[in-house]
Amino acid sequence: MDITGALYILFKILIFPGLLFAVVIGLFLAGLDRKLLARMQKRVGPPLRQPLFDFLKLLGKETIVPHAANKTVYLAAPVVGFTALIVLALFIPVFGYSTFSGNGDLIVILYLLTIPAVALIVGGSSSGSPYAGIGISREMVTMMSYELPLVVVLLTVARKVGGSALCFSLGDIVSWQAENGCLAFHPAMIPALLAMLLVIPAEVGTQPFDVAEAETEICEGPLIEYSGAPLAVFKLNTAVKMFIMTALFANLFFGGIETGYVALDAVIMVAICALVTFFSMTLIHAVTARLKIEHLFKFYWTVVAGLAALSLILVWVGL
Amino acid sequence: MMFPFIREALSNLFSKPSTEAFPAAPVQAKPRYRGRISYDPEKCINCGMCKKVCSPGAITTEIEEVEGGQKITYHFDLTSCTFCGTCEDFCDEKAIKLTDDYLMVAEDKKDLIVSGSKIKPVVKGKLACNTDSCIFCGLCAKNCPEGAITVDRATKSWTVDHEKCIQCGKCISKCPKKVLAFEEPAPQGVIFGGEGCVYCGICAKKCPEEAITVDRATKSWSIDRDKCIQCGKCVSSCPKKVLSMGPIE
Amino acid sequence: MLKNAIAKSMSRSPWIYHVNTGSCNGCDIELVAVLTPRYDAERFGFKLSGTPRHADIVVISGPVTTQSKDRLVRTLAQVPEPKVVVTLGSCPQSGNVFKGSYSVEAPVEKFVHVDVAIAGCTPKPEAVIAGLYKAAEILQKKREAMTK
Repeated sequence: MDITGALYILFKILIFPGLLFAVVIGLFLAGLDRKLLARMQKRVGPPLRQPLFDFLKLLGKETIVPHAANKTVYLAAPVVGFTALIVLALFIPVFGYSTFSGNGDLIVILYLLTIPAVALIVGGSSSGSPYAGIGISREMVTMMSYELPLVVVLLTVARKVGGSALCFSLGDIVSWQAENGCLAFHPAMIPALLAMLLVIPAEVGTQPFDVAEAETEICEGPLIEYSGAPLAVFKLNTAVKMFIMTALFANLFFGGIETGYVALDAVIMVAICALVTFFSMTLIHAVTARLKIEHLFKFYWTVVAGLAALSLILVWVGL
Repeated sequence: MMFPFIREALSNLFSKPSTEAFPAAPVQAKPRYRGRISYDPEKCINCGMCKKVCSPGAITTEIEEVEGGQKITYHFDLTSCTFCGTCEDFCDEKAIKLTDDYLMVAEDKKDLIVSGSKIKPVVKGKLACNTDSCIFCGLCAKNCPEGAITVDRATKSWTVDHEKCIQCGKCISKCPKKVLAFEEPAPQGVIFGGEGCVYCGICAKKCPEEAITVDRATKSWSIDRDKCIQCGKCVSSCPKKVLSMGPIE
Repeated sequence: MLKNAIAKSMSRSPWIYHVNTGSCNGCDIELVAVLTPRYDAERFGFKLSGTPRHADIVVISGPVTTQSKDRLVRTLAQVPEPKVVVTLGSCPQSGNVFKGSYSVEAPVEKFVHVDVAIAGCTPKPEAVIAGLYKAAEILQKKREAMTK
């Protein structure tokens, strides 16, 4: 491999679809979420750059490792989660183009998506705090709740695009949509779209599905003992997760929009991400209160999984 | 409906926020807000009533002997105050006022103590001459800066114009026979008129030092001169005007 | 440059941890009122955090009862540096009407250095905002002093 090729790959990983791009757009979406939420509550709200300030401030704080904690696991957990998210960002096609693509990348994405949640669970449990204990048990239940509808939604998309062959390639899904129109405009996919919109807030961990990190009852659960730089990385994880999930949504249901201009495509992509952030996270956050963990589980396994299954049946019978 | 606030949330998104631009635009406190205490030492008569009614004990006084009288200082500790306003209510001279300044934020605790002091002059008596030992030399008249003293050797008379006298004390230091002196002022105090008193006991209630005892049954009125601070509250509160301030024996 | 950006964002994103040491609840309500739409302290990045580990500004209310004294000291020890301590209302500074009681340990200055005192019983929300704003500035100064 020559030096330009290596530099190109490094550029991809560190700057464009990878680290920097994902972080910047993630922080932007997180800021937008907070600003719009404040405006919906008739407040002025923090500036759009607020998540960046939060991140930088946490970098400047002292990092405390509790006496009872396993230091290595405790400090490595956020980094593992963050790395998984950056790898994920390389899989998600930005304007119909991704760094890594292959036959089964949707399945890789599905597995990689669990890593940040697992990192949170591992980090929380290594801190040795009883509040973190409650938090991780809730996080596990939350994971179980949203995984089922998420898998069914992905299965629906795969069946719709690939027919009986089941297409699990995100690149192929996007190019199929370029030919046959966005999946969001296929009537059979509407319940799956709604189900996916409801999966996003649980995956990211925003109200009313933030039972694992309920700061008013269990003091932010798994994050309770974290301070300084590791906490900053966890907060960044949430922001990047916002980008990953909304971008995945955009590719699954609004993929294949191509204007021919690279910059314009990127802007459309970010606009779709922002819209999805608004409808799936901000609006729901503004009008609801936090659920109990058993209600969350029931909601996902009945309503959301039901919507996804309805869509799957409709697609299976050939609609 | 499952989401009752969804319409309000969306309409709020397109309307003006109801947030006050506070640090940028100063906010006036509502009428009758009780904030930072202001204390006017000139009006204060040092009765100590505020100190007595203050429930957290936020008011302290300091009395210092200085040249020309006593320096009386009142400290109002705002970090200890409950802002109940009782001191303001009880201050008959209106020397204490709770203003509408609510920005009581300080890095140093000393900034949150309101203090005021005044010097209470020591009252000197009138200039007097013991004419029995006086030799009428006239030195005092010569040295008087105001020309208030007239001495006539022939008629052996010594007179002073009290209106002109500034109580500088020069004549006293010049007198060769040491016969000049300021008269000791007669001790001041509350005088009980007797006639007309209905023994209502208001004076006893108003007294900040509880120096007055009134017994209605036996129709007796008595005062503890040691406790009395001569604030004059009983005099001003007496409905029958039988009390007065004046020299007592 | 990064050092400057971090110091600057210290005053832009101060997270508050509130310790009630036997307060009558008056000051606590006013502190929460500061986050309501009318006053909206989130404009300046203020946020209530659930745990002392995430806090930048510790707000103490109440006259520090004997029972809560140890908890207060332990809580303050868990806050990562740089941190700023703010007293809310008269009670932590002096004990207010509770001073002299057998179960009250005020003033809080016996246990910890107080950076900003907000007086009032209770302080008006505007005064609380002004005090917290001052505390955020002190936080930035402390960070600058740490890295010098």
